[in-house]
Amino acid sequence: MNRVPRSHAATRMAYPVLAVLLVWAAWELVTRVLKVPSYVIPSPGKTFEALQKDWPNLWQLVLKTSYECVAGFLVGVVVGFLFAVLMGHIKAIQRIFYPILIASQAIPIVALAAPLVIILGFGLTPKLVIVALIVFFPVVVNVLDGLTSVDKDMVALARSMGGNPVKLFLLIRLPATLTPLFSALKLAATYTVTGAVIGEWTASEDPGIGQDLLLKNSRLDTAGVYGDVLLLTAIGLSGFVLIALLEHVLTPWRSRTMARRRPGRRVAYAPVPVVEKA
Amino acid sequence: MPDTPKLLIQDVTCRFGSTLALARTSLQVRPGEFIAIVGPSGCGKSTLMNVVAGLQRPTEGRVLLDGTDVTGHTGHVGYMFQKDLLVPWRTVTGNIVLGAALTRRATRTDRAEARELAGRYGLGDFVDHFPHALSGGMRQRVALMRTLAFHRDILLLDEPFGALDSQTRFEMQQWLLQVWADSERTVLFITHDVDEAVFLADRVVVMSARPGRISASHQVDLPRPRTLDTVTSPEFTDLKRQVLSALYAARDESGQEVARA
Repeated sequence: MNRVPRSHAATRMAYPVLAVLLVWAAWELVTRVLKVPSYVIPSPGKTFEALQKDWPNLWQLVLKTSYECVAGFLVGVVVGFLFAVLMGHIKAIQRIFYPILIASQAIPIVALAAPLVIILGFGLTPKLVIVALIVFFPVVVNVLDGLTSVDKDMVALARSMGGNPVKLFLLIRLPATLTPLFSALKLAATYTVTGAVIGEWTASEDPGIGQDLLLKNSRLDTAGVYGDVLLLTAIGLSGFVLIALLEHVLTPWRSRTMARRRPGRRVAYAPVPVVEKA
Repeated sequence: MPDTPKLLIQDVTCRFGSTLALARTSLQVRPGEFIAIVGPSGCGKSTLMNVVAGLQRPTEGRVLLDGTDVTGHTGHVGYMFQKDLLVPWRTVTGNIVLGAALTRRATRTDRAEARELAGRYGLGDFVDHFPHALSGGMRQRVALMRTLAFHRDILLLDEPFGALDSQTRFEMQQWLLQVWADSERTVLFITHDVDEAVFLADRVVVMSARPGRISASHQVDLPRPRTLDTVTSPEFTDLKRQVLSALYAARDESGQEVARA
């Protein structure tokens, strides 16, 4: 009854498809009608051709870059979340670290990449750190926001019922962080790709797509560069979609009127004997 | 039964810094009694409630529940606020069993009872709904069910219907009386509204501000069950006049404005 009707769902699915087609059409138009030479802007056809030809090499690079993104993302989210909880509960920590946090965001991450390589070497670690640093900030800010915006009266109510601090955290404060957390994660998921590429550009002994892009650019393989850009976009987009799906599952109260009943509980509530004395 | 009061508020004083929020206050409540507390804003009604709920430790005095000292201890009463404070990520059932979930674990029995309660009071079709899908009146009803399902003999209701429109409000008042009759709880009900106080209560306690204290107490002997006819009866009007004049006398003393009544 609360399901979106099939036709509506179909319409909703149609919009993103339409968006892709629109970009494609504009791209085709620029290359064909304006006759831009393919070494300046390759046509979609040329780009896909390049992608296809280099795919046996590319897929491993995609995995490599995706791995950097996912691992860095997870590190950033976990550390950011714990940090926010700590700051939310101990005011002194918040007062000391919040300014440092803000200041750290004023440093361009590109500028930080070089010294990180000196400290951490050419391996996976500096890339993880760069990605994690990018993810960390929005997570801290949003989770902290969620923790502090919990209704004081709701906390008072829970306390009046005799709830201990642990229960209060698990049942009231923690779920309140989910909505802002997911806003942060969706942003962060797309940022991770930037972080991974910056990491690869600064230091790579083991190349990913970012490194490959740089290489193809130096060879004036524009179609190859465009192909790599498409792949990077796909990585970021997949991250975003995954997070959005996870959000849909984990915060059902935001998108649905009713909780989904677990199977077998359909009629569980119909005739229950009166428990309370009348 | 008349010997042991259900609730005894004994010489309670509350001081926040240099402000005396609540002057020495004592109140005896019989088991099953419905007490309405009226008074202007800032008269310490909510402070008194917080003291009874154990959220606020009084500067002086004690709170006795069935003769046991519960001063400063939470978990002994069901407390309901003007805001429904339903937890957005819990369903109607989940909200009703919140007390159990916070203190131990909500069992299958708790959930069954919650659904039964919702069914009995007209929300049977909404047990799996999230609060955002309910109307204001329904939400407030769920909030009261949550307070009931917490199974405490004393209900503290702090302006529970203050945010509702007058029609819904009257329905809710009648519903509350029905629930109260069903469950034999003792009720402390805070309100700004003298009509509401007289309509609901066995006794109306008038508080005054600066410092907050109890300034009068009126027995309401109107027959129950109370209906629309009660509100138009001469006895009702007479009582209302008495409470109002007590309120205004309180205002004149403290030079404070009486809130809309």
